[in-house]
Amino acid sequence: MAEISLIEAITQALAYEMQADKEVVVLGEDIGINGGVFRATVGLIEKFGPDRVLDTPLAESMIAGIAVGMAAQGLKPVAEIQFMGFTYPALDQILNHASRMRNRTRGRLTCPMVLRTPYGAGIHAPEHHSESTEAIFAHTPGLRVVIPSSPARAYGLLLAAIRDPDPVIFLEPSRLYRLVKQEVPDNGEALPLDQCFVLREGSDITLVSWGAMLHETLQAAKTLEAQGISAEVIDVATIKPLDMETILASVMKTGRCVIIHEAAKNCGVGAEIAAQISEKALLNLHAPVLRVTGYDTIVPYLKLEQLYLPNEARILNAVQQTLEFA
Amino acid sequence: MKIFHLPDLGEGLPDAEIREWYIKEGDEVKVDQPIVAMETAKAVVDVPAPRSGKIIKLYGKAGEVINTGAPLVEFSDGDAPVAKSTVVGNLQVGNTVIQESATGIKPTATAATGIKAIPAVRALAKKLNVDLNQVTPTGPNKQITVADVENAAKHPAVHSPENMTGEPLRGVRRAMAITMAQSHSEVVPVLLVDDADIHAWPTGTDVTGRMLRALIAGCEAEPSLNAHYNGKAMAINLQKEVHIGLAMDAPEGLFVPVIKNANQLTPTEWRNKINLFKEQVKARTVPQDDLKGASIVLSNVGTFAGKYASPIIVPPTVAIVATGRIREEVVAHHGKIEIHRIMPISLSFDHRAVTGGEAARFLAAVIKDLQAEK
Repeated sequence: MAEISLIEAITQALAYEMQADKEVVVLGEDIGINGGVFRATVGLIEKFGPDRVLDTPLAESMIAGIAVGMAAQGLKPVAEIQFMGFTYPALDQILNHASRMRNRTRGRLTCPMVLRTPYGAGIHAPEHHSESTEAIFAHTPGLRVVIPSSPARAYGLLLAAIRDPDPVIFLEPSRLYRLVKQEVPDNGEALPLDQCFVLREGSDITLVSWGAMLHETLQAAKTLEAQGISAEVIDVATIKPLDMETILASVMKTGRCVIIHEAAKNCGVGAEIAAQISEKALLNLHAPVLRVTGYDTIVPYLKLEQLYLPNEARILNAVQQTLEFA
Repeated sequence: MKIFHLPDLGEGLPDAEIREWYIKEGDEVKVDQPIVAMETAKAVVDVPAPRSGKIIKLYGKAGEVINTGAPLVEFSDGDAPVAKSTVVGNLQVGNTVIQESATGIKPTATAATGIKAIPAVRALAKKLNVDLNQVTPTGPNKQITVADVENAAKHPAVHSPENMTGEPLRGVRRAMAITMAQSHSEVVPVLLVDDADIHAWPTGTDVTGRMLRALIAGCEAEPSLNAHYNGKAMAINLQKEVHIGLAMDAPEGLFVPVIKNANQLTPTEWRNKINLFKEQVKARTVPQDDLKGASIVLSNVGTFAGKYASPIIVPPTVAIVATGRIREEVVAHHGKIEIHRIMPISLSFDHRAVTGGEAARFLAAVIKDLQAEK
């Protein structure tokens, strides 16, 4: 079995599901002949032909609109938007139509589409290419927002997203695309949506994160272990709807929680998690829930982007504050 | 890589002219070997081979112009390159293979802690030094309230010994706890700190040996620090000989074996005694007699870390000297800036028995002896 990167796991999942289900089509800019801006769809047009692998014009609103139409009429489109910053022209279709199709038609039509897009900073990219604005989608009723953090979860969660009868925004951490490899059996087994994954068991503090930031979070947990502090690490994976059950069980056990996300702090998904923890686990909390996040500014260009991204030192600092509180 | 395209040789140059080929078709090249001289609008640049291999085709002759990005040479083998992305950014590529399960782990213990209290109550408990395990909750849902914590702080009965859990201290640790508590309740300690410049020492000088000698010199200058004091009788008993207790750290706790009549021994005899004590402390075979009768105590805290300390005087002695970590320091020496080795020294003395003047003169004598070359 081959060890593959996260981007190869995406390709593998797309190829598996296109083979297994004739209704699955992929569409987006340069995804056919070129193979996609990050090579997520490489080889698909050769295997499945131009009828199921559609190169579209540079028009994100149209890509999303076509996907909504296809999905409402029984296909299972997987649309690629090249970068998260390019989803904004498509917001009208996603927020006004994809998310509401089931509600608007009182269940007569569903919208089984997936909108895939790379997100996050750390790849030395220009403006609009480093966004981490998952909260926009998480805030929208009717959308499911899924973020993998490893090749195996990218494969299993993308399969689940395609098979889900409702629209899924599938955000791929571009910084992780080729950073690590993992054995990923091509067996078509989906992973559960709407569920957190506990990556590390601990008893002193709960670290909650998702996407690329789990890389730094796990590193921090290792450092803490060397200091005798036992950190539980949770990969939220589906940030909408949230699996608060897993997070609350952990926080009620440890009494302390730090949330790490790349997105800006203000109204980020971390705020929602922190609020729910304080609503439901206040009496078990030893300290306020802290957030280590990007800053409330446009993601800077490559020279400064490492200063924007939360790093291990910032995580450790928050953990220490939390541990010292009481 | 099969075909090597002409890279941009400057800042966005559109093309370059072939000046001279260093290789011909059929040649084997090594990576980084110059293969062609290209003339740009700015300069003549040697282009290195991007990889090793056999060249089967040169795209162009000397004098011809090649566009940036157009084929330059073709290798005999290799695949057409698959770029990791088309236009944007720079993806970090790693080959680390991660082992974690796709579904993560199932945590074994998920039990919530039994205590229910808001963070403010927990913070208050910490401030008032109240153990929440010992507090009876009176709030709704059995939560501990601010009043519960305040109440517990006012009535320390709730953490009486029978409620307290923990491992009872034994042996050396128990002795340490008793001695330290006794010192704390009796002695009136004053701390005096200073530095000795030990730059004159030859290499290989026995630090502990020099400290013992300096201590003896101090005791000779000010015998009132080499004494036993009886607090109840308010009587001071100056010692004729210098019996130096050496504080030694061991996993079981603190041991203070005593070099009796240290003022009558030679440095070699000190060293032998110290080495013997070290072994005996390790093996826990220090004879009882060697653990009592100190007239003054020496502690070297600086082996690990620490500059100055406030060493605790063990009754009936009236003084203890601690040496800190020797460090290099910039000092003014005869009008010049020099780097000297400095030993920090902390002296605690019992002000019930010793005056400040006596202690200062004692410390001055210690430092003077330490600063001598030999």
